[in-house]
Amino acid sequence: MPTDHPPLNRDEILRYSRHLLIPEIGIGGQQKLKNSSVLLIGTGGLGSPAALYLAAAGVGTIGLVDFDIVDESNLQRQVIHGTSTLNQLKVDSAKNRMLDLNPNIFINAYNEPFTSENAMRIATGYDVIIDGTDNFATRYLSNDVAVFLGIPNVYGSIFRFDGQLSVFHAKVGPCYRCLFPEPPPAGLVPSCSDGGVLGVLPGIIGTLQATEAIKLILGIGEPLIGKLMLFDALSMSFDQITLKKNPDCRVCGPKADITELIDYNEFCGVPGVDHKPEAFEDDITPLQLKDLLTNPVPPLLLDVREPHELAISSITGAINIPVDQVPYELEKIDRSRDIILFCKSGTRSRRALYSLRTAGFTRLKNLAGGINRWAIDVDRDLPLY
Amino acid sequence: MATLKIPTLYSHYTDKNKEMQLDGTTIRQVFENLFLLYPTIQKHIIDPNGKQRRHINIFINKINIVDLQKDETPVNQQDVITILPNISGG
Repeated sequence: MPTDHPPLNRDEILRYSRHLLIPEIGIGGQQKLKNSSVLLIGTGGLGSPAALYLAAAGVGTIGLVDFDIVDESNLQRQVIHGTSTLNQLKVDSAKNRMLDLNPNIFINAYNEPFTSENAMRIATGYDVIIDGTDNFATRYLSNDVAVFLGIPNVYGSIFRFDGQLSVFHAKVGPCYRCLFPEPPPAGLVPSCSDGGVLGVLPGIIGTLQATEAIKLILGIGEPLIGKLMLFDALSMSFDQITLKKNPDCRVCGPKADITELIDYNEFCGVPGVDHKPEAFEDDITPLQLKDLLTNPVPPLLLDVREPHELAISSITGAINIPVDQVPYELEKIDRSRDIILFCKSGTRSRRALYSLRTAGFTRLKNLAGGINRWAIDVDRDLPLY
Repeated sequence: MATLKIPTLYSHYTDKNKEMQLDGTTIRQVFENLFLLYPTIQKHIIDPNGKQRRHINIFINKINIVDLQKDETPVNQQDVITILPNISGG
């Protein structure tokens, strides 16, 4: 973390001239930005625009935390990356783009998952955290780190057409846990990789996160502390609701009992990293399924995806019951046969499997990796999505 | 009738309706009427013990009902009720 912050030079004064013309910023404000540091957790949908605008604005030190590589399915929304950086580390792809935009800044790239073990080491010394993660475990971790360090956590979250934005700053207002004491039960709330997201939506919310971070650094305007903004792209509406500190908050309340970082994966009941699938005894691989389908009495294939997904890819002979309808349409499922459930990647079908097991079904298997894995291992004519 | 706003996350269970008018003089009654119309949304709002799920917040005119009278909070005709779920996408 640089400790020496020389005054703006001649080139920088030209570069930031549109800022310097604003009375609320001026030379003093621009120097504050140069002297400041922001830790951006995630360089995905939210992180892409946030990183670009923080770099362009001249935030002097920006930390980037991500362990992923750039994948083709990222490029519909993760605009900091490009076709030319496919398969590169996201932190390297983002860092190079940011330094191309503004070579006057300093970037710390952390190519590692953000975990209880490394979070304090990484975050200590930063002025602001921006939460651009894509899973609950890392969101609770980001919040708790910000509370323990006494710094603001600029929160953004998205799903399909909806976005949420707030500034959680426990020193002066509520934290994320004040609002959401617990994560949802595992599997009850789909991620964007299962439910989808409008590509431009993280562009809007991530840009607003950068705006809030810059306001906090400059000390101007009214940060969204104690407020949460709800954005609906379909109705193009912005609503604000009021948040209060929760006196029973376990991390920032007067009787807080969480005083150090915990095991967030266990707390959330899910793997902290969305991309590492867990293996289960009742999983079946695509190749095993291919063999079973040649049997005289093949298993029943139950596709639990939404109907509009069938137009993307399908497996011949499968019946379709969307995951949430499964408990209500049990009569359509032949209990006397082996049943193989599948969805896009195996998450929703696992939820459906548990639902059928509760209803007394026993001959159940889940297609590991879903139809996307089937498209890689068995039927390469099928598209991935 | 009060206005209830449904987030996209749950509009799947309300025939894609994201805003609706519902009868009820308390939050509890409004949600009972919602569940009568759209039974499959109930398990996402209410846990198996009949309590509001902890990752769900319900606001009436920008104020969290936990800061009012919870599900006995009175509801008037012009009130706007918002369901705020915890979402994680990024």
